[in-house]
Order: sequence, then structure tokens, then C-alpha cells
Amino acid sequence: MEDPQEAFLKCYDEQADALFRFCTFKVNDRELAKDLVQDTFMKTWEYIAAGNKVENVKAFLYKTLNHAIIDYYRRKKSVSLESLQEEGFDASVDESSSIEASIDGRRARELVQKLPPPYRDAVYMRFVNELSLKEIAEITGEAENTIAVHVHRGLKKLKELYQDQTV
Amino acid sequence: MIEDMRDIERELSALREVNLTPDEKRRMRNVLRAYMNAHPGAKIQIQSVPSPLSYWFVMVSRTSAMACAVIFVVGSVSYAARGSLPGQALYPVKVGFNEKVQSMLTLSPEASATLAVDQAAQRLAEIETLASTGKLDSVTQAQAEKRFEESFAEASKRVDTLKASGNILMAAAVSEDLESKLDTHLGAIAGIAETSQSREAVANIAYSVKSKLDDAAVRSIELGKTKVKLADRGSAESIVRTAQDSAITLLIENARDSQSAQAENTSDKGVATMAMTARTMAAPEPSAKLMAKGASNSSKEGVSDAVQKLIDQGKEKYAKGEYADAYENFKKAQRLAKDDTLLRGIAGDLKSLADKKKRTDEATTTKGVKEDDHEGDDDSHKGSDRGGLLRRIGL
Repeated sequence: MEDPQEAFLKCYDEQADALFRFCTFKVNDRELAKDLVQDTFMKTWEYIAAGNKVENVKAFLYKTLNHAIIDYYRRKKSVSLESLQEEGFDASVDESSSIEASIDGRRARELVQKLPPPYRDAVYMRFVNELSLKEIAEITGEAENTIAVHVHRGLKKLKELYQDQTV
Repeated sequence: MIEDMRDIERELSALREVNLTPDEKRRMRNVLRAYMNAHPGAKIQIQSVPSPLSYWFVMVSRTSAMACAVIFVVGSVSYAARGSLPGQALYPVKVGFNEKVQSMLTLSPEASATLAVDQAAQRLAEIETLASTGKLDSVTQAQAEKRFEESFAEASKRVDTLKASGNILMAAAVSEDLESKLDTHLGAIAGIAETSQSREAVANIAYSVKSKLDDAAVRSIELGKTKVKLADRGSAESIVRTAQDSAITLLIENARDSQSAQAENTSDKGVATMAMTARTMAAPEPSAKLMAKGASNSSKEGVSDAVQKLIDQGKEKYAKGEYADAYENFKKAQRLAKDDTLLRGIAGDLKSLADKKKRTDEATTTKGVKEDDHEGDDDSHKGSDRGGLLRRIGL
């Protein structure tokens, strides 16, 4: 068996960018996303080191990260991402991470952010982080069929938004 | 409708470019490693790829008990060897048996290339473990370096095979993966070198890895250019724009790191504010230029300017529709910016090593010329390669 520490570091090498990308998308703050991702890896290691078995490390990491993001917003009760965005607040968006105010990156981000929440996460995880329906289902705790519907509807809605914008 | 979907998918793919910088990734990795060392745990179970030997067990399950016993012993040794490191008794079993069996069971050229890249990365992970646990000495260094060079040569050969078979997209993807893995591990090794007691041995390894990383980068750029040439116009533009965006991000990140360091060192409130602004502001190109220049100290100024120059040239070529050449410029800018970050802590060590090796090569050349003109030619060529490396790593 591979040395557990090395196996976990390998897992970090493979997943850190995708988790960071997902977290940045959710919290709109690069520095905060780095902290949350770092915490996620530490907590996951702590869990594994305590002797608990993890069947799918990737799904477990996403779940832990999701909880960390929710905890963060719970701690900041007065501020919710949705409420901030509804008010048009986007000051902490770190455009340098999505590159020189990349027109494509920004437009795609805006389009996906306009999707209703369940569709938004499903589309993002499926097409940006390239997770399988099964993995998304495991992470979100939803049935695989439900996720398939969310992705399908999200994509349909995204297409409508895209067409509205390009007309 | 299909066109719309393609456009949407292309737009979504732009979001995939939001990544940690190599420096951020390295730092976070070092923190995680330290945390893991402090919390080693007793019973750890991570699902990993099953041993290829498990298939063997199934095959022989109905054969004689003696055969099973033999397999069991071999399997146990193989199993025990999986976590071994260079210098340990079971390491040859891991590399010479386990991994060979795994390679034999991997049939397609794509899977073989991916496996070879993973094995090269595994060699570097072993080096990191040796270095971070103080087990890297001149003997283990030589062994580890040799094994890494062999696995790198194998991975490169697999990429070339893919290219020769006409599978350019896969060859480019695997080559980029190899470059990226070398990048990450070199960052970690350089980070360890800064505090390691065996700094010289670690720096020697870093020097060797850097030289292979340069080779991998050259191969990636060439394959990437071919990929751009083969793509339709829309896809080519998208690939080049992504490369441009990454180059600019790296430039900004380097400037930001430099600003933060300056702010910490000088406790200058003004600079600290600038660094904070840089962290949160949207950064169109003029700001990037300004930040890069403002943040640079005298030695970094040259690197930032060189990166900026490559980006500007790339933009000009892009405007003329010379997408492959523009791509080359942006990728070179990325490489230069990454090297600047990667090697910051041990740049001095690498420069000393490069100087030392150059002097040795020159001495050998002089001696060779006196003894045998033809042999002298070879050594002289080797010497110029080292000089080339020195220039390529921006020292």
C-alpha cells in the first residue's frame, strides 16, 4: 500500500486547484478560498488519521469544503452570498485570478451565477470541475437522477441566458 | 443550437483557468505536510489503486496450495515494498517489480503515458519525503536522482510515441501534465531546501529536476503549438487567450508577492495598502504593468520586464492571426514567471551549482582538447548546455 501521507499529498496535488476553483466561485474571495481549502485538507487528514475510513477521498473533500463554506457564512450571519449578490455587491471578486478581467471568464461566471442555486452548483461541478453525476450526487447528498435533472435544466437555462445576452 | 452549446462549453472552460499559483500551491502543500507530520495517526485507510497482484491472486485461486503460498509471499513482499524509499531494501522491488507489473498491465499508449508521468511524479514525491525527513544524503541523492531521470526519460518517450502516432491532443495533454507535476514537486523541493540540513543534496536534486522541467516545457510548447495549428479558428483563439490570461495572472501574482514581501520587510503602510489593493482590485493590463514595475526590486525587474515583453509580443502576433507563435510567446512568459517564483529561495544555490559545473566542464574541455580534440568537442558542447540551462532558468 502507498504511504498514506504520500497518497494524501498526491491527492492534494490533484485536487487542490479544482477545490480552490470551486471555493473561489462560491465565496468570491481568493484569500478566503485559500484558507478554506487549506482547512479542508487538514480536517480531512485529521479524520483519516483518527482511523476513519474514507471510500472516496475526492467526494469527501468536496463535502468537507461545502461544510466549511456553509460554516463560514453561518459565522457571518448578517452577510449571505446570495443577499450580497442580489444587492449587486461584487467588490471582492478577484479578477486577477480569472485573468486580466478575462472577458470570457467573467461572462461565463456571470451567466452561471444567474442560475438558480441547485442548478448553479450542479452545472459548475459538472462542466467546470468536471465531476461525474455520481460524484456530484455523493457530494450534495442528492440522488443521481436529481443531479442529472439539475444539470440538464441548468444547461437549458444557461443557453437561454446566453442567447438573451448575444441577441 | 449545437453552436450555442459549443460556445457555452468554451465559455465554461475559461472558468477552469482559476487556479492556485505554483507558489501558493507549494506553500499550502508545505503547511499540509507539516500538519500531517504533527498528526501522523495510527490506523489510516485511504482508498488507493488496487495492487496489480490482486488480479494474480484471482487467477491462481484454484491452483495448488503451494502456488498460492508462493504468490502470497511474493505478494506480501510487493505489498510491503509500496511505501519504500530510495536507499531502503525493498525499494528495488517497488520500482523493478511492482511498477513493472503495473506497466505491463497497462495496454493503451494513452494509459501507458499517463502511468509513466505518475511514476515520474512518484519519484519526486519520494525525494520530497527523503528531504523533509532528513534522510537525503549523497548516496540516496544519487539513487533518487538516477531513478527520477530514468522515469522522466520513460515519460518523455511515451509522449513522443503518442505524438508519432498522430495523437497530438493526448500527447500535448500528457506533456502539460508532466510539466505541471514537475513544477509542483520542484516548488516543494525548493521549499524544503531552504530549511533542510542537507541543503546541498536537495539543491543538487533541484538542479537536476529543473533541467528536466526545462526539457518538458520545450516539449509542451512545441506540442501546444501543433495543437493550435490543428484547431479551428475559434478553438485556437480560445487556447491562445487562455495561455495569455495565465501568463498575465502569473505576472500579477509575482508582483503581488514581491509587494507583500516588501510591505512586511519595511512595515511601510503605503506599500502594504498597495499590496492589499492589488489583492482585491480587478487588474486590467495597464495596472498589471504598473504593479509589476512598482513591485520589482532591481533583480526582479529584469524578469518582470522580460515576461511583460513576451506577453506584448504575443499580443501583437495574436492580432495578426499568428496564433501558434502567439501561443509560444505566452507559454514562454508563463515559464519565465513560474521559474521566478519557484526558485526564489534557492536561486543562489542553483547559480553556484551551475557555475561550479560550468567550471568543471570547462576544465574537462581544456584537458580534453589537449589530450584528444574530438573528446574535447563533446565536453565543450556539454559545457554550453549547462550555460544554456543557466540562462534558461533566468540566473
